[in-house]
Amino acid sequence: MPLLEVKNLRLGYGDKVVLNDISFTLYRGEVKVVMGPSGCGKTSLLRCLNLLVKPTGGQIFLNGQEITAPNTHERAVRRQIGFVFQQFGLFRHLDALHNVMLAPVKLLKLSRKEAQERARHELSRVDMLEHAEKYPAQLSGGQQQRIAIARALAMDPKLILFDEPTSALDPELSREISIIINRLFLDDVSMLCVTHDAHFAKYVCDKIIFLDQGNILAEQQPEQLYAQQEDERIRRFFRMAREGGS
Amino acid sequence: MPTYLEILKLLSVGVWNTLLLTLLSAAVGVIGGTALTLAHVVTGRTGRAILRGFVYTVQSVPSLVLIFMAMFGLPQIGVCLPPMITVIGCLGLVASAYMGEVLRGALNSIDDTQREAGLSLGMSQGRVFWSVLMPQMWRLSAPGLINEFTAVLKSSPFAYIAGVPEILKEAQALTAVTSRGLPVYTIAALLFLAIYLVCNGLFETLYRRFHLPGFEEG
Repeated sequence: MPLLEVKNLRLGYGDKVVLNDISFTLYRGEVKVVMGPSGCGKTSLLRCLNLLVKPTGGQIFLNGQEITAPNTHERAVRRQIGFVFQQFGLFRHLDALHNVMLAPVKLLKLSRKEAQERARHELSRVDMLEHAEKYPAQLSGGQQQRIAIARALAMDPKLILFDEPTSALDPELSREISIIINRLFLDDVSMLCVTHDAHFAKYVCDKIIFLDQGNILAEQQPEQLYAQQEDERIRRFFRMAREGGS
Repeated sequence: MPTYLEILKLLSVGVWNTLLLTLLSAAVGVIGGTALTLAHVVTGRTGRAILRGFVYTVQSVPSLVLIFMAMFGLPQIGVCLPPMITVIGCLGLVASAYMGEVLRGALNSIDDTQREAGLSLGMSQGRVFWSVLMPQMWRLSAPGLINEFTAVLKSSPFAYIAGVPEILKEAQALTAVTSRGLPVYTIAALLFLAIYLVCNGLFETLYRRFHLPGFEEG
């Protein structure tokens, strides 16, 4: 049974179609990247998956359970799906440790001591333990993003969604993030990551889902996708990515 | 002819009432302002229009007119309150309109990703508001709230109309008896300055106490 199964997912606002019949699966321990030009619906797809946006059609299954069903307990689903934002979204009034601790204390009802231990563990997984006492404003973008990843991990999610985790970062900092994501991959964390950074994608994932105007054009391994010639849109995208010097 | 020291002694009787009046009105303002902000968040479009109407009305009608309306209006509908309470209610109402705007501005300035991050961890809207947004809202609005506090302090002399023996009331009585207007009102002014400085110092200390590294910078 796949961890995540998306069947004929649709999303539209009025006449505008954002996602048109999206279907794919993700197995436990798998890492897939969603790529495509701006406005292709990548971010909307992620937001549908953790129910921040309500899809207009289709189904999503998490561990075989339909989470698009009308009686779904949204918050319970979101607890099982981590989300890492492009702009980090760290709680600015809390230091790194408390950013990671907040949800476990309030939602999982862990004692402060347990939550602190867990937070320290997650911070060490992203090499941020030494910065545990620092506030978001005192940290670089890459460091903030690593704390955001630790914060997601602390809820012990079945799946983590990344929404362009590196696009607010310079190449060096974005490398830090890909190293962390790779490490999580070795720990068997399942991940779905939206990006338009071709280098980053190649480094972190098993398969790339290529999205264009709300449709999946291809789902292939990075090397195959980058080299493929059949589809003009995909070819143009990667040629421009190469010429962009990223 | 009373000496300056005697004037000061006589006027300081009113200091306590001025202080009480100001602090309580400001407290009503903070609570009311928070309630208005919350109402703004949870209500729909019609609700928001009503709230805006309320805020505009209270902001545009002079405090003095409000106090007169309350003084004459409330007894007519059978509500008889001590003058102190009536004035605190009126000044608090005005303060909550202004403070509500300050708080709402602060709340809106918090980037939305934090709210979504809270939701994505599985928090409820209420939990996000309580644990993530509100602590930041308070800090961000502190300078504006302190500013509004001084506005409350400066409208506290309206209480003399209702017969509350605060600084201005005492000053008037003293002037009537001694006809030494200038020294009396100068000392009254100095007393207001003193209250302002003490309260401001207190708030500044509190603000620094809750300051977080780099928080206000962006």
